[in-house]
Amino acid sequence: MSEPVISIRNLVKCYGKIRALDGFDLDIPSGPVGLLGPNGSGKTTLLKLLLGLLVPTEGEATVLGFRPTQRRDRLSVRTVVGYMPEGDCILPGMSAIELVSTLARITGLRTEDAMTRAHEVLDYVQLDEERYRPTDGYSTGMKQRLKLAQALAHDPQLLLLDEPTNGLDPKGRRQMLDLVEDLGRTQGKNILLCSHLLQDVERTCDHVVVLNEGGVVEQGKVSELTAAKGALLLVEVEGESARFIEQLQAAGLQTSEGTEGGLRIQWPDADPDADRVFELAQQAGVAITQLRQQRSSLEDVFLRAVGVVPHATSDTDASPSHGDSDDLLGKQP
Amino acid sequence: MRASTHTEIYRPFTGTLREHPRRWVTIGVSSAKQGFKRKLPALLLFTPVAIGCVIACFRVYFRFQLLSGDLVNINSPGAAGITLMVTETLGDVVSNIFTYTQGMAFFSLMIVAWYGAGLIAEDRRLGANLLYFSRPISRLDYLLGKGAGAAFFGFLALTLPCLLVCSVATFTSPEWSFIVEEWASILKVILFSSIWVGTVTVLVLTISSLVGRKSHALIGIIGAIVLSSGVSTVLAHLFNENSFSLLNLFQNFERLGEWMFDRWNPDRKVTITQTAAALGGLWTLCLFILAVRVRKMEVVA
Amino acid sequence: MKPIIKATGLGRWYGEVIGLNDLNVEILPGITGLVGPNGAGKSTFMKLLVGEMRPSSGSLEVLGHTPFANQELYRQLGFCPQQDALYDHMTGLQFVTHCMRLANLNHTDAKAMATRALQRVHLENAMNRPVSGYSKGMRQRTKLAQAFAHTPKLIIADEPLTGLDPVARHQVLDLYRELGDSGTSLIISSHVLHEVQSLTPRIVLIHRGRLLAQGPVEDVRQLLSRHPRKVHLRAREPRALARALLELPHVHSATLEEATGDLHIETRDIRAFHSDLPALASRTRSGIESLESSDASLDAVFDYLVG
Repeated sequence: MSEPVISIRNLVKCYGKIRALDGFDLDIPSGPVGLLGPNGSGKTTLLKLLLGLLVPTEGEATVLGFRPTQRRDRLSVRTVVGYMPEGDCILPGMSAIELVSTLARITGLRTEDAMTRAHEVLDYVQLDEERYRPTDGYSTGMKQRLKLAQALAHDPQLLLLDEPTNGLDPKGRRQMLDLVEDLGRTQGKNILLCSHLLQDVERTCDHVVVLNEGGVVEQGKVSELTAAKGALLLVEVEGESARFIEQLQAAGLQTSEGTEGGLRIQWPDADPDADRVFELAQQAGVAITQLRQQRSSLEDVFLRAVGVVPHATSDTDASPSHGDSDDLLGKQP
Repeated sequence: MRASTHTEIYRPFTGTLREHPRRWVTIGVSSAKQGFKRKLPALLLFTPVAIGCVIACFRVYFRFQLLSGDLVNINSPGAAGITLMVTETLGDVVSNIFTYTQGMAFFSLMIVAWYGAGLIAEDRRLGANLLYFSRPISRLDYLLGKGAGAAFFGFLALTLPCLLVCSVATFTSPEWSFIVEEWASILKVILFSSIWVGTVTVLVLTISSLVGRKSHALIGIIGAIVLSSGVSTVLAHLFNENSFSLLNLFQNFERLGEWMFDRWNPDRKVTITQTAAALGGLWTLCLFILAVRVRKMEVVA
Repeated sequence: MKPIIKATGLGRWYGEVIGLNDLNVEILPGITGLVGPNGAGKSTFMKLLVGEMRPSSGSLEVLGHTPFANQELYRQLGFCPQQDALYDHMTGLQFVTHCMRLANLNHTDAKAMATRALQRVHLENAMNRPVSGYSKGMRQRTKLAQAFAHTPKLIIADEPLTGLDPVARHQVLDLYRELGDSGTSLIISSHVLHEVQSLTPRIVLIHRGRLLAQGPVEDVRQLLSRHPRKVHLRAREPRALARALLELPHVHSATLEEATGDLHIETRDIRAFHSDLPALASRTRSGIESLESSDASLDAVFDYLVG
């Protein structure tokens, strides 16, 4: 693996007695990376430390060769990092083009560069004629794209995106995810993406880091974390499934009821042979509408990492136990 | 010509960053620019300023005209007396400027308040601090920029008209006598108006940093001024104790002007040192509050 | 089954701005997802349902009542609004108790119900602290507790998941499933479509103040015959599989993605495709590894309908 984009050594941040970051080491690789964690897990604190907005109680962080934890680099690190904050934020009274060019100039671009650059990034996020209008009247989707544009104004090597899809409707969310995906996968930007919507992270990021209670509880490649474990095939069947199941069992395959009506087929060896399943389906006269190896979703990975047992009826097909819901229901009157 | 396509949707930035960007200037300019966007308040606020300035200029102009004898034949016996009387009434340049600054103290305060009240409050309300502080600016840059933005309008309202009066005086005075003899007054005028504009700016920004809306900041500023002036007047009357007038910003300003332009009123019970201490105290308090509030804005970002 | 909500020609304007236009919809008991782009009229519809506003035109029946200013109905309804409608100075418990008291309950009962509801949303440790110190997720859960504490027949929740972290989302979704299983009807609006779909197949899709679609997602998808169904296959020998598939009369396109080896098929008749596939697969033995048709999801349906 190439040089890490961010490397953190024993980083501690205390607010009074609360240890928001509890002294961990972390190397964040290049490319799009998802930073996950429940509320209060220290994500925001970490972002602020990386931007040099907070001074750590202990420890070191290096971002692209800068040390935002030290006084000398506290400001200069922000010339190579673009930050898209979570909440609504605009500069009062300005149009989009003014906002982006002003912020670009503050970063250090010359006036003419700043103007060119502002138009380019606004083209990129597809804010067209609206860019000349005051930003107060913008829709949520436009505001979010504007925030992304301003983060790109100085063409930073690293983007910190805090909940970029928050409050967007499906169309706006798709647009935003397309942009983030393009930035990370095609334009080769390093991205640290915080999101509560794990589907978004799964779609745009190659790597994830899960924080919980101020420490790193899981990290790795998305593809590896969600990789298929064991030879379990998930099949959805239309038609006489009873006969199909009989046939499967006759062929020596174990089956069980999946959630949402699917069928789980346990293969004796590691390499399931789906052709055989289709053959049996043909004999049983049933149609197969879905077939795939069981993978865990990022949600399962996340919930396990933060110590919550995933619930079976999530949109993925995890373990069939219904145990966790009792937690919520036990106190029912 | 070689064929090429330019279909890339994201273009990397190939230029370089400035070596020594004056980031606060950018903030100051953009803050000032925002002020010019609305025309009606500018018209209303600057009309009295313009009128006051024109009157002061005319008085200075007439006086020099009278003194040089262009208007009246100075040799006719009756005219001499009248001229003397009129020039006396018109007053010299410095007293005109002094009168102007005193007359405009309230208006310049209102102008700085109008343009400066929203600078920090609205930034907080709309989350602009999140955007500013993700850029390589220090808190000082931010404060300087915002201060420059607000002070610019104070400068337009007070310093610039004073300089206009001075230039009228320069051009109409016989043999450039004004600039030759009274150049020090011009510097004093600049210094004096800058102190007032600076004080007012710092006060306005402080109040702006304490509230979450421009309108609240405006109410706060007017409230603070009215309250402090009222309380000081009432207390001074009740206890027959002049030191309460130190609470009154306008009176401090007046005393400072009297002292700087050598027109100290000997009846005053408050010394210039006390006045300076009062103004210094106000500055210290305001800068302290600003430092704390802006630090909070940065950390929250 | 008798519908719990029946809207006929329902319209609501704000001056000249249209909120809802000639909406005709019947909603059956159970969980229903209310989806649509921003500004489509979802919130307007919900406010009309809970009687916060009077319709400008048409008629609306909720649980057999006309909702506007109907005290009788209020007792059977729970509403979880989108706005942060909490009193900051109260504790969570006080707030929910206060809401119950508004429904004419005596203090002891109200407090007991509020406590139970707050426990169910996992706020038992925080419920005696003032709301002002709550996080966004805790505030959402307090609003939710207030909506179901009095065991209403119908709960209406406007974007109840915004701002929640994955753990809280998971818990709240489970709570909704549980409420749904216990016979409470729910109408939930959300922008996160896969979460809606994980709760319920039944949706009402509103766009520009009008009803665009209603019913189970799969059935809605069937109606969109303009868009051929897409199927994604992954196989050991994708080219052989593609050749064989193109022999099927209803398959009209097959695209091989060279980079990943994924095979994308478009078919006019998804049922025929599914029933023909087993025979074809066992004949060609091209080693199919996965078979998925993603465009029957709510995301895809929404995309096709709203664009």
